[in-house]
Amino acid sequence: MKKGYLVLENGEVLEGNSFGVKKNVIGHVIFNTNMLGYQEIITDPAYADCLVVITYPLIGACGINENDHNSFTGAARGLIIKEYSRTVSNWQATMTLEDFMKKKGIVGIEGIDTRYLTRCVAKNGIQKGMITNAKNNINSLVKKMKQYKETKMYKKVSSKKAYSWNVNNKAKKTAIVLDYGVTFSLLNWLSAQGFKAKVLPIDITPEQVMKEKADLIVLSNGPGSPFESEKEVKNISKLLGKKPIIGFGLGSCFLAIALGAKAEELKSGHYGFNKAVKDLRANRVCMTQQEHRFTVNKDSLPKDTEMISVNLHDDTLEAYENKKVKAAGYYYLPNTINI
Amino acid sequence: MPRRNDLKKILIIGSGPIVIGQACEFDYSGSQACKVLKEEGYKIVLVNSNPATIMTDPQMADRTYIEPITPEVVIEIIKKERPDALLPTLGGQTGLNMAYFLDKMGVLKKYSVEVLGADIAAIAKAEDRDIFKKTMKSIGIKVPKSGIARTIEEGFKLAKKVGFPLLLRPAFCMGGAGGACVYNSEDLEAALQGALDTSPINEVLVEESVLGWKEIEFEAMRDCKDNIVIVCSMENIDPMGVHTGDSMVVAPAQTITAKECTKLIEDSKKVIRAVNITGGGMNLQYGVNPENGDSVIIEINPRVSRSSALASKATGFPIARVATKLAVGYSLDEIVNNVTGNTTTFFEPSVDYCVFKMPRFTFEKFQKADWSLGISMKAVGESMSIGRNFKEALQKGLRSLETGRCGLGADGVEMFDANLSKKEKIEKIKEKLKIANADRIFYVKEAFNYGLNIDTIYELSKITKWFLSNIKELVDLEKKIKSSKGSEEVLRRAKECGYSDAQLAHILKKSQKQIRSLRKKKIEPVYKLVDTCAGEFDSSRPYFYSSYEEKDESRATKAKKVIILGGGPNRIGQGIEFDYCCCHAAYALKEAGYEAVIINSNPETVSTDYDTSDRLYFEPLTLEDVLNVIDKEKPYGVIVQLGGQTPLNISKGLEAAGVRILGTSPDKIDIAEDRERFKKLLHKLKLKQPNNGTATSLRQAQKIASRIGYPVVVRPSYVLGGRAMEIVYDEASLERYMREAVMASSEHPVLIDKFLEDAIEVDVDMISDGKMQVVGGIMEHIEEAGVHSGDSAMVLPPFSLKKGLVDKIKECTRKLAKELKVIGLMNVQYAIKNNEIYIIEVNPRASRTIPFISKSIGIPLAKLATKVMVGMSLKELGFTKDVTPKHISVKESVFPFARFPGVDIILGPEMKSTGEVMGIDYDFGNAFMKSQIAAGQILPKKGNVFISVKDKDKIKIIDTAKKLQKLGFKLVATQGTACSLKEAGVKVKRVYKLHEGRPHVVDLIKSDEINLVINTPSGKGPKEDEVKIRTSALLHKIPVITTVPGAVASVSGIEALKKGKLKIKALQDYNKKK
Repeated sequence: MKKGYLVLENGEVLEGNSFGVKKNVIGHVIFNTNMLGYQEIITDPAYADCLVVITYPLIGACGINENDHNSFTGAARGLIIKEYSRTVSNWQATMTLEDFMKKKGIVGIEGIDTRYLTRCVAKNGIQKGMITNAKNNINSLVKKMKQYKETKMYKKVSSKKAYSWNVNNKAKKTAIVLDYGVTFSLLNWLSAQGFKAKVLPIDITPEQVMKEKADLIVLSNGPGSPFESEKEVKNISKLLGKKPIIGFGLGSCFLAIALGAKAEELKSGHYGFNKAVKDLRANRVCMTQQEHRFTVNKDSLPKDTEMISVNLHDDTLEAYENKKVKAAGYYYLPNTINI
Repeated sequence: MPRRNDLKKILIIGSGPIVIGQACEFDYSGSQACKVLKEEGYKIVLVNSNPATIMTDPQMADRTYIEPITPEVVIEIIKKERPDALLPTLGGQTGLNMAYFLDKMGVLKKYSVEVLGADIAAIAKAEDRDIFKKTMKSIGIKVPKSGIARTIEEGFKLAKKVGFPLLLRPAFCMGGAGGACVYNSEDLEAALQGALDTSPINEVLVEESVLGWKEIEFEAMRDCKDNIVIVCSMENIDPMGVHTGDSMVVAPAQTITAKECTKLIEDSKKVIRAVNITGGGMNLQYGVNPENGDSVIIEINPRVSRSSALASKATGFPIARVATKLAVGYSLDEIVNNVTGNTTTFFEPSVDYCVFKMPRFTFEKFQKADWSLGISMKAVGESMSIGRNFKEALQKGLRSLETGRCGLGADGVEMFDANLSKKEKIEKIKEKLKIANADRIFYVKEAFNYGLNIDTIYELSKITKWFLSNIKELVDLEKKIKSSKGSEEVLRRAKECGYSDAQLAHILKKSQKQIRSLRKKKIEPVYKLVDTCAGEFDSSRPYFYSSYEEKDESRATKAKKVIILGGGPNRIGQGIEFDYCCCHAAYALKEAGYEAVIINSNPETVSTDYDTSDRLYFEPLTLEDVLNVIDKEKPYGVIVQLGGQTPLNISKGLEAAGVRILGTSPDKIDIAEDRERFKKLLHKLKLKQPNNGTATSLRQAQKIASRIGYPVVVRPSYVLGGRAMEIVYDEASLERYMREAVMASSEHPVLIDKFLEDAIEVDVDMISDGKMQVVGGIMEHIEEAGVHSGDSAMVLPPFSLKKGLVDKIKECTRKLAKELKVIGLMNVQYAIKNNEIYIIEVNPRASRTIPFISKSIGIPLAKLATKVMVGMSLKELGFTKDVTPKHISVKESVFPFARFPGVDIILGPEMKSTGEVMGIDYDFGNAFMKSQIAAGQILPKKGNVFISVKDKDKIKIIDTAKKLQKLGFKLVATQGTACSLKEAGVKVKRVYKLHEGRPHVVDLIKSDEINLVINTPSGKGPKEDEVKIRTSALLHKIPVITTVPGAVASVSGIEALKKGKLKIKALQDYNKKK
């Protein structure tokens, strides 16, 4: 086993062992509280610029199977875990997690005190980190991290070609999905809501979108930040009011900015299966799966845009709606939509 | 919705005595329920026959009835108290069944008592197998093929349809009682009969077996607004076919994918909605086919359960507390999660560690029982352990069990007879892997050692390969440890994988102390927090486990604090009574201004509840693990005398490590435990003990026995619960015993005492502050000396001893306490023969009877003892006078014989009971009767009594027989007894013995012509006839009395019963301050 190190932007170094691909990578260190479903996590494009800490310590027991990928394109950049299970014990598995990581270029480190790391992120906020095999000259690594910048990550994961997704024969309506890093979860959710989906690459123009026959425009979640994305926002603005629009995750941030609100970064992100939200209109609570680092500042919502739900724990905005232009943004997949 | 204001008074039904399948987890849940209802300002009426519970402490409820949990009694309570509602979901199956039957009887409607949490329809959907099946079908959830049989014939018809192997599951039973796995039609009839008899409504589900599938469980909660949370998933390491209570379990589930898990969770939500739980929790069990992921639902429990207690401790989410809040109207999002302090309970816990639950068995006490594991639960307790990986949790769990193991092997315990060849060993391994048993996990390890590969082991055991591969890693690591000669890197890895210092010492041929100093300052544990949220939020509750990792999160304060060592897993001999004492210690310490820190490994207990102590460490109770916590906490002192034998076992080691032991010193404790030192002490005090000697060899034993004369009591030193204790009547039996016992504990000598036949045994519990000694209670045993004190019925105050004798006993007790410089509690057992007082045993620690006495006299002895241990005087505490209550309290024991078919039910010096009940009244007859009813011994009011006693008892039984006749019973006896009764002028019908012709006595029992059996075993080992009589009576639920004093007491009970209805009275009324 080769030694691996996680160097944090604040100079702290955690030691572990390398697995998966061995190379230096920089990314945002975020944690996910799912106890199962590492495959879905590492194949979700939303993590393409992330070094994902999985808080559950034992990872790999189910291997990787053909049915549980969450996208065609996406892969997390790095995986940080406590213990990698080399034995696979699930009937669906077709390969080991490590083999898959090698195939997808995912860098891994195990043997990390992930609980400590999680507490750091929860207390001090998300910072950048680097997984490396050599820890000499930490200062230069930190410097490198601080300088490291990437924009429009979603462009890297967006599909190059358009494709259709229809797993529900009874689906009558059509949704156009702008792919900032779409997941199969979202597409399957659309099917369950009665939509055939057509996924379009994001370099498509608003005019082209309008040419499509569609009952709904969907802005998908994806990696990276919603800032410095004037072009995307401008394009979305052009679509406002023409067709009902619903945005998710990053897409929801873009939509909010287009509506006149401000996006903001969450302290430690919301990643995991157990994120409780409160539906302010129905006065109900529901448990949701989330994966987002950014949200919309509640106070920045324009007058015509109302809050749908907030996070039960930290009270941040989880969904909003503008009835006038029929636009809504979510940071989770709601049970039903009414738009 | 907020708290319901239309309710004022709520009745809680407890679960009664500790039995297999229903243990102290229901005290844990019931206590939480009481706390919540009190917090919410409701009046609480509680009924529970188990005095050893925290929930029956008089301040927990407004009205506490320690009465039998039968419909008649509960109806009386309802009549008297007129509660608005009944909360049946916290008291296990007993509570649930009671609610169901009260409803069927129309009682609830008549007195307008509302059922909270799960209504009667919901209970029926879960418990009535037919309705359950239909409900599952209606929501599209697969169940195994099955049908309901009410008769043997129906059972056979269904068997044809379902096919073998099949499972029999009696309706309205818990812990798989009466259930069986049947492999062929030959065995079907007997199994069916057993199952039909066990079900209180005589219904049995005949079900397709899914043996070998994976078993996955969930704990779900739903509120009145239809919010649902899934608290925890659990994966059984043992496959389907082994009762979940007997299975090794991990949480969360490890080897199903998120999608598979989501599907089961979606199913669970459908189920909890269909059953319509409107405010409470539910346990759901699924079978999952490891080949293709198919799943079937096996069972649901619409109540808190053993699993929910485990899930609560595993995640930090207090299910019982939340269930109670939901039952009185709150919704999940309105309740604050007290563990984090800043989230609501509408939250699904995420854990960042691996939890391992290991069942604890006591087969060694039931030699003739079937030791294999099946669908009827046999475990008497469990340990839980937490680690950052499975290997660590596994090893900690195994050393928590206190079966003499230090982890997964590497501790010098040999799994094979020395003379087996390699081939024979492999054969044995294969057999042990195939048929589940208590030691299976150790055989998995041996299998790797003997070269079997993972696939073979899987095929034999059906234990999921992931678990096997983890064990393989341990096997490989062990080799590495050996070859590394203890390098720091390897030692660290070993500690990360849960190896104890004791194991490392064994592997590296060093002493434990050497290992400890080798790793000190370099490789030390850190403490991580159990916070329900995997570190996402700050948590206010300090609940910890150890791990060998980077960063420590412990929150040791500088405050003055005391560590209380718990009792570990429940087993026969050490149960809930000791946990009760530990809890009281925590309460007392807080009152006295100390911080209370608890270390324990038993998830079923109140002591491991999040709010019992100031800080909780969920750790094994070994010297190493305890010292690690002490290093971190640096307490003022440690309390070892309340947790039973477990903490005492390590007290010397603790003292040697410089730890202050509070209360009586370990050296004085040792005097009481060490035969020779004790003998000297008694000599000095001029106190008598039965003639005795200590032997380390057979020859020595023979010499001693012939000197003091047979019969003798033999036992190994340092045991609790009379483990391996026997009365030996001749030299041949002595020889057999010595061979087995000395094998069992080669380091410890065997103690030999003269057995005092027909002596009266007395138990005394006393408290001392070093200056003053106060007797808490003197209990006279009903059964004669020779029956283990944990098994015999006891009466407080004594019923046949003269005052002079009682005073003498008190004097002896004080003398002993003074000499042993007792600070805290002490228990003494005496035998009285011909007005002479003999000292059988002195235990300078809390005894099993402390909660019973405390309830009876209305004084919390364990609490007082704790305060005394931290320096307060009894005078200060206002407890200066011996107490003799006016009412009579009877403690009766409850036995697990029904779980072990074929085991003889006679009582002896080895303890066999799992739990106890209490009967209180103002006269002996009624108090005794209540204790019998509560213990499930339903004495008849009329009918036929079969009497067969050994020669020595033939005269003694005459009075009893006469009384029975006077009470209108008809007597039946075998020849010998019949003759002596006839001679005494008692009318009796003679019946054949088994070999004399038919119909013989067992035929009569089988055809329900006998209503009570009085059968005392002849001295030298039971005869086959007698065993058959007793076991068949047990099977037919006919009460059996095996001692003459027991018969005498029972007759007074029957007398009382015939005179009038049982009267009920709340505990609060018995000990009212005038």
